[in-house]
Amino acid sequence: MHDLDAMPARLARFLGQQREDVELIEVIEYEPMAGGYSRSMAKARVRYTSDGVSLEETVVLRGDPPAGHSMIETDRDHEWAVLEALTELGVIPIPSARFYDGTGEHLGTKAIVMDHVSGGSLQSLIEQMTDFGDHPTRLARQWGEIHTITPEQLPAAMVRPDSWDARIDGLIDTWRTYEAASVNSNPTWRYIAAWLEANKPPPLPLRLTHGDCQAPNVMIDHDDNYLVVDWEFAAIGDPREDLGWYNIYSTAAGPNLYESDPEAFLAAYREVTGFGEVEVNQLTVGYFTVLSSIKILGTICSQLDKFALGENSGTMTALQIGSISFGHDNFINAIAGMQAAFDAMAAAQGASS
Amino acid sequence: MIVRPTTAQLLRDVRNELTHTVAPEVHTATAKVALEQIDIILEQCAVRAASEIAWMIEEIDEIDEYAAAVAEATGDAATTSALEAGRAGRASSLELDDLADGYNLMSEALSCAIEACMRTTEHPALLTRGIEILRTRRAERETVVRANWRLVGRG
Repeated sequence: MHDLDAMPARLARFLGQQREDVELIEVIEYEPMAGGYSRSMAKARVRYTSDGVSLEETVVLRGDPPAGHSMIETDRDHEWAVLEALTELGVIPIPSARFYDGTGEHLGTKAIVMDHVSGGSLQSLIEQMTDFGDHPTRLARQWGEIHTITPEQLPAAMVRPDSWDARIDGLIDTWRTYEAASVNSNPTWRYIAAWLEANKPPPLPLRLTHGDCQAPNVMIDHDDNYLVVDWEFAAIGDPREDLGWYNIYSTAAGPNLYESDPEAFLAAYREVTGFGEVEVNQLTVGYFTVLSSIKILGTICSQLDKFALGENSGTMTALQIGSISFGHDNFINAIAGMQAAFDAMAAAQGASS
Repeated sequence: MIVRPTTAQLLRDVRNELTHTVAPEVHTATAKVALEQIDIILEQCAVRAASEIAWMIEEIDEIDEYAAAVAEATGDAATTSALEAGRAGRASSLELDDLADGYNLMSEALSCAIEACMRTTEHPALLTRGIEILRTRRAERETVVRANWRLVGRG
């Protein structure tokens, strides 16, 4: 995928092996795409010819970055399995995932070939808006639809936590595990882990979680449909993990459609999922804003450690020091706010009893 | 050694050259994004180069005093042990690598001290002080270091 001169011919050969119904396949344009932070992305214009008739389409390739230049390590096999399952379920709108080079033998790296969505991302749309219209509640419903998918509907290969407590305790431990393994001692992460352990929210049923809910991962087609992309972090977990990650990500790279009216956002979300207000409210979203961040910050931390040890490099990775420190600042303040709310509620309860 | 212009000044001059001379000649989307990221990292390096040694020294002293107070109040073995390690590992020079090692050792003492305060309700003032160190010494300085950081090239 990274050899731009060789790729048109390689991709044409690969597509030819997948499409026996077509006589001739030519890749007439191939260019890297900006915007894919964790994976290498490219766009290709492909011409198919059969019986003298030619058709053209654009496809997107999504593969692993060159060795030693990865900001995040994730598994393409896992992502492909999730995409296949979601395609079969047909509940969540996604761009069709067409083909997969699961060895890298054909495309130079493990890579997924999928439909191109020409309409752009929700991020690029809302960045131009002052009034977000119905996008906040549409987005809440979109996340909610993902969270209606139960573990039983998902591929057997996906890890199934033993219980809600096991999932949450595992995530809390993840903060400590990454910190202990890091070249940097990090008292903020240790404090976060201790606070999360002492303040667990009421449980919800485990569901499919996207793992990287953010507006750049929602494409909008020409019929104004949302299509959810980038499923590399998909897992079975607490649905609020996605709400929390959406909140912190969108605070770092806004606009934040949750923050614009949290109660309306959560009401729309609860309507789709059937979850109650005791479990899904601003405080529990606050808790998961902190907790769930470790899934991505942890892997960023690992790559920065490799950078420090001379095993990784790249401006994309170096830039992520900012992501970690942005988290520190926000989490310390969020915990202070939540703790104050808990203390006030405890005081009110004490006064009334 | 020529110390002026400072490292920060030199880095900012490189930024300026990249922005005004190189960037207008760059036309592909991926290269433009890379250049924008480089600009952010250079500014962060400039901020760090100017202050990070002073900040680490200041924090090491503050954590030493705080962890000692927690160790005395709680008798927490982990804090005592981490503090001893931090003191033994104090850098004998201002070389950045030596200082970073000493800073990390003392940071472990801060982690242990805050954890010790969270295991009990008896020392709320010490817990508050520990969190304040995280806020004012770590988070606020990291915000300064982040400088013009943003997630460029997304979406």
